[in-house]
Amino acid sequence: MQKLLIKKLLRDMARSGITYIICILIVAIGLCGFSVLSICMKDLEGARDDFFTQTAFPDVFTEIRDAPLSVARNLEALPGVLRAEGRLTKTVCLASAGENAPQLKLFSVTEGGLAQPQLSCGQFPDAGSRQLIVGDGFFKAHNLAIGDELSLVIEGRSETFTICGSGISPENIYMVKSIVDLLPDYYNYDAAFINYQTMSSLCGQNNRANEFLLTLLPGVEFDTIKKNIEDVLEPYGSRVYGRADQFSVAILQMEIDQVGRMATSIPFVFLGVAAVILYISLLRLVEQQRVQAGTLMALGLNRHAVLLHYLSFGLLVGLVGGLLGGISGVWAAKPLFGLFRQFFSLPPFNAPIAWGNLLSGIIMATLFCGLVGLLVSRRLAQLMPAEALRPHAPKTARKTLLERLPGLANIFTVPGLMAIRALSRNPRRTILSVTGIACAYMISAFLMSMYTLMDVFIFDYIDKMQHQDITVYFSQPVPAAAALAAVHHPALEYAEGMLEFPVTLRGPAGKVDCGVQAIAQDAKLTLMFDTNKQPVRPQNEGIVISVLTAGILGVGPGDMIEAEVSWPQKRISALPVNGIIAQYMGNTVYMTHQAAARISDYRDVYTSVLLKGADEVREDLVNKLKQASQVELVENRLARTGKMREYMSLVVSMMAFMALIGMITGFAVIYTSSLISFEELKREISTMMMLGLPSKQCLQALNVSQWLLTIVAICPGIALTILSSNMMSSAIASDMFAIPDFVDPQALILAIALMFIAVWFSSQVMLRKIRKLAPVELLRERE
Amino acid sequence: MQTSVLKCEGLSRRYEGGGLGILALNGVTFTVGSGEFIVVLGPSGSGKSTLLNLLGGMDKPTEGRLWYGDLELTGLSPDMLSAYRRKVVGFIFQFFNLIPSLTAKENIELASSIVKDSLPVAEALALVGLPDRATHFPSQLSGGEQQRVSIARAIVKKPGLLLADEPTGALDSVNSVAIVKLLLDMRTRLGCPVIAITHNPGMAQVADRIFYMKDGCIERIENNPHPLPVDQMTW
Repeated sequence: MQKLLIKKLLRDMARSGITYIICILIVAIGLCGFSVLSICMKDLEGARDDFFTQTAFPDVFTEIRDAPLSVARNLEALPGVLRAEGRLTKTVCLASAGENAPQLKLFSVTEGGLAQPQLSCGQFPDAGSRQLIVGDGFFKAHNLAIGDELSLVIEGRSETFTICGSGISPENIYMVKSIVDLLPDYYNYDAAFINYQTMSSLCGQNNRANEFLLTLLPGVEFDTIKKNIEDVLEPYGSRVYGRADQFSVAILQMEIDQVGRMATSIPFVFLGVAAVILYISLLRLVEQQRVQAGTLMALGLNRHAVLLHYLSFGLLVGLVGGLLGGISGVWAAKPLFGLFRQFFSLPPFNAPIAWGNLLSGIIMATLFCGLVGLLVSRRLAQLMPAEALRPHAPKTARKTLLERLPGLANIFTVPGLMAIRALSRNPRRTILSVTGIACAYMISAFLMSMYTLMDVFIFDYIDKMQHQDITVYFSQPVPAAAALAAVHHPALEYAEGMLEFPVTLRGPAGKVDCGVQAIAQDAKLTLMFDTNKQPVRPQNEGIVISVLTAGILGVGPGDMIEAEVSWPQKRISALPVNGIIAQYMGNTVYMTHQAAARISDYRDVYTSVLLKGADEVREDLVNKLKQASQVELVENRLARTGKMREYMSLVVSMMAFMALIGMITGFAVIYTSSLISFEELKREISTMMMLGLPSKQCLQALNVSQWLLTIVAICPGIALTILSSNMMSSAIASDMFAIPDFVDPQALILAIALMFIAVWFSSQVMLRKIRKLAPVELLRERE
Repeated sequence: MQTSVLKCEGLSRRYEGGGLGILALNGVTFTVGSGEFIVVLGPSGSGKSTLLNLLGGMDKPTEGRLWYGDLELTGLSPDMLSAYRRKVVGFIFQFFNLIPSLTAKENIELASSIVKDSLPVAEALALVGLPDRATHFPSQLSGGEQQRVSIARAIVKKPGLLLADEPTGALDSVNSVAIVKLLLDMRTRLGCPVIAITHNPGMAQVADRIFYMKDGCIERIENNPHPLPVDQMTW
């Protein structure tokens, strides 16, 4: 019996092949997304953990100004600390001429020490030699080879090194100069590793360290030991943070978390749409096969067998879609993981085939679609055979609410009225069609809006906020007058000093480690705006914080927060929030120089100078500044944002692709709904054709309802888009990034246009079907 | 007197819906012996199909009692009724009700596969004279052929009761006579009672008894001591 019912099932499905294929494909898309993302997440976690082990990655990082290397022994003596090491780090630039010379962050290393780079090629530098390991990204981007020479400007002197290897450490898997850079640019900025002896002698810091790295005994939590470490390092002004807060690790973890969140959200949107199409299709099938179900029961099949049979339509769609999606997901996960691996410069990781993910995905899709089948067929299976064998009582045909509106009925032709009445006759299907179209609309509009959001809230904001052409960073705080004198150029339009130092802010909802940027109250090169685009200026007492920071601290304008500064002396102060600015990236907060002086011991010093000047003076200035010993970095703002845009093009392409999938999904819902209406109204359309109505007029019996459904679906579609945007904002928010609750009106309009194109395309397909109808044969058939 | 196979007492069926109650069958009482050929005659809405549905375990009476042999059908659970339909009843429909996506052979197999001791499918097809139509789908068969397949599907289970709901209603006279002949043959071969509903009084000529129904009641039961051979039946 089962064999025959399976045959029946397959043949029935083949008769409405396109509808089921659409369902299968949408399920497959959803499942592919689930498999790809969940496998990717697993592989990323595996690669990361593997990487940590292989590179002796520390549990705790500390940044200090300068301390004797021997402090490491004091740290090692702390209970819970397994090992402690000091090292030197310094950002230097290539000695090549030009405005935008690439930069390297040098890390001192000792063979067998902590935070070693994993070598992709070559060997470790010999002690005291002028050898260095460059980051893999830089190595590839500059097409370097082992044995090549590289000249770096260290302490104002050009020093030549021989490349002895290329590699990467977990600390450098996401190398950005600052949080506002968003994306790494390995051509211009990467890590390099030099033997400690070489680096300390070049920097004049023999037996000194500006960072300490610690590993903890198994089971020891960082938070329990942090205070002790801070106490040891207090004389040197320290910032102590755990592995999880290390920038690269945090970014990677954020990405892994986002991949995980996407794995459990996006696929379900597609499964939801598939469920709507499947529900509509199966509902129609069950209505059509009511007599067949009655016959099966009359033959003696029990209700469970009948239920299982109709449930199997859903199960099969889910199984095939799940298999297709799962297998393609497993297949596509490797390249996607490869992209992530490349993006994060992770070493190769041979993850086993994720059978668990594949199987769970298939089971999930099968059960999900099976549930749809169950919802549709359970009532049928509850009927007595005699009831199932009786034809449905004719559905009531009465004037719809729309027709009762004065004058509106006259707008529609008779076929148009038929379409409207068909909608009111099948309220469940109408609601489901509207839901499906609304979901498809949401997918398109949301993704297009996200694209605009990137542009508006990242690039536009940076363009509005930052007005300097060049930023000159000093290796340590420099007296204000000396800093401005160092960057002096007769053709320079404007120069503004800035002081940057770390601070820990505490509010009622939490605490956050931030970087303060102290600027002049009337600064012209750093402008700030609130969420209503109104200018915000820091006051001489208080602080301006970002939306992101305000959210973490749980404060608003005027509220008091606590600021803890560790260097040069530890100081804790209370200060008011002057304003909240629409900044969604990073933890930078802003103060005036006077306000900064109130909470720290920094007086009249700058750590960087922002410069504005004509193009022709820029190169001259850059070359001059690069030779200055106290200058650490010279950065061109436009070049940086240009690079960011270049990198973002990949993200934009992905979003465009997803929006296209959204449109196809919308078309699938509209097409399925039209197809079912066509099947239902085939006899009526045949009668109209027999009466001599042209095909295009007969088409109105179908497409008027589709246009109406789509127009009606757009309202909930917009609401869903806004809801998704809000959900995405809260889901994606982290200590480093936030996404504003923003929906681009243009995206909403464009998505409407896409839905209308889908309706038009679907109506063209239906027109072809109507033209192929043979009315005489159809009317001869028994209904 | 033949052994009583079916017995019903005060069988009623009321349908509720739209605020109106319709008494489709009103206190019907009769017995059916083994091997009897009973024709139920009556106008539309007289309760013929309702009666057949109750006898076939496809519906539940709202009042009265019904037995098949010693088994009381009233009060059986849906699964027990399924088992009754599976093991006992062969049902023939006016519009054949073949599964369109299964071939003739597969339609019959569907019925044979759910019982233990069934006729071979080929034999059932041969009995209805369609051995060469096994692989045809219902849409590829004529009305008469479809009804033959429907009969083959009903008899393949070797039913204890053969019920036919207007088996000739959708057929021309030639095919109708052939179908009646088949029903009589099956009755003889299987030894089971056959109850057939019809609008056509011609079929009464070959029946052992005729039930005349009107307004949900059996108006009268007529015995036919000398049923005509099928070839003498006037249609």
